[in-house]
Amino acid sequence: MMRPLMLKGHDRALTQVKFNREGDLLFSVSKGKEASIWYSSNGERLGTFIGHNGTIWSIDIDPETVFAVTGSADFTAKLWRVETGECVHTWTLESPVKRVEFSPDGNQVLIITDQVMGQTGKIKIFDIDHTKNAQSNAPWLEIVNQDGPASRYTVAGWSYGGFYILAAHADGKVSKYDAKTGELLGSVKKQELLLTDLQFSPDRTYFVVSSKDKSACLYDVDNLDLLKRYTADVPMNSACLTPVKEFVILGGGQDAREVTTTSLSEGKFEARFYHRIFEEEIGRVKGHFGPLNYVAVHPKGTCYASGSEDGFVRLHHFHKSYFDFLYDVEKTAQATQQFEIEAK
Amino acid sequence: ADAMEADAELRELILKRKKLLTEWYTWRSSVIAKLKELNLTEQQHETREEVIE
Repeated sequence: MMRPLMLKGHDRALTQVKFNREGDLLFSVSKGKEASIWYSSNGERLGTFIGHNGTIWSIDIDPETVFAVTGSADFTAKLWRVETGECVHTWTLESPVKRVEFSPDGNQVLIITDQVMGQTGKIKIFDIDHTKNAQSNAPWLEIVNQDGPASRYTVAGWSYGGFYILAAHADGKVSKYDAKTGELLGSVKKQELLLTDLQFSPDRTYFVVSSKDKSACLYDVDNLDLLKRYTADVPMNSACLTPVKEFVILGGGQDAREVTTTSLSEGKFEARFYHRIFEEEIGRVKGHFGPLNYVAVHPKGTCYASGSEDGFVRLHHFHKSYFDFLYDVEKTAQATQQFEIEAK
Repeated sequence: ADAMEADAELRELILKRKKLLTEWYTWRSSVIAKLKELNLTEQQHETREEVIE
């Protein structure tokens, strides 16, 4: 079905992989201290960001691929100039950084600080000034977790227009905040265990949230309605929404400590493809020999990348059959639509 | 149409999928209309324009 590229460069478990807006570059971070940049076309490594002193939990790239931001267990978030690989700014936080993400316009960045060592978990928003290197160390906005450590923030991201921040919690709850005021606009709890990832549709009007409860749920931004639920048989670490095709890719697997008690083949370290609308599993891609910690799809839907506990990034370019695949009802609907267009 | 008559269960499933598909695209059109009002559809156009060989 696909031609996979193995990206070898990290010697520790991958934590996040991410494409830039054009999709020509893939960025990866791991439990090692370096971030890597790869060409998505051939899997060749372009460079590294060196400077963190601990696990890098998260990375993001601004819309122009000028700056990248990383968040680390070393209590810092760093801003990098992609072209030179130079660290241009460091934010020092009070606890480990679990997630970083640029606003859709690239003029702000959100940073999740973990709720550990007596600190309250927060979502901090900083302004980004693209005309200079040094950035403000004073957050523009702080959203504080009100509900204790069991409900700490795990991941968060920005909606369409950068209007809202959607945050996932450790107890399965999803919250929506006004990105200008920090006001809580609503919460839903449709999943049972730790939420591991939150990724948006290309237009950022809906999003998918994966959970250790072996599910992923699709919500709309405006009403926080549960639109769809995808059920798996192992804990899920990540989920993404494919452009072009109406699919969802899920990644996960039994945790390493549980796998050692069974056989490796039972870990189910596969990327799973579901039909977004029908909620049915339609295919799996094998290859990793540890849980998938993150899945990301190319912004134009031509390939996807998975980062695993096994230390590898696998980059799969989709074959024609992937794009051709349609349910019969979809084919009929397309034919009808075509007929109506021609009738006009 | 043949498949529809062949099996009641399959017919149910096809009708269910049709319904899900209609619901989804009805909702999507309302969302896209809203984004257009907000002038936020540019990025989506970029994605749609890309042709996969």
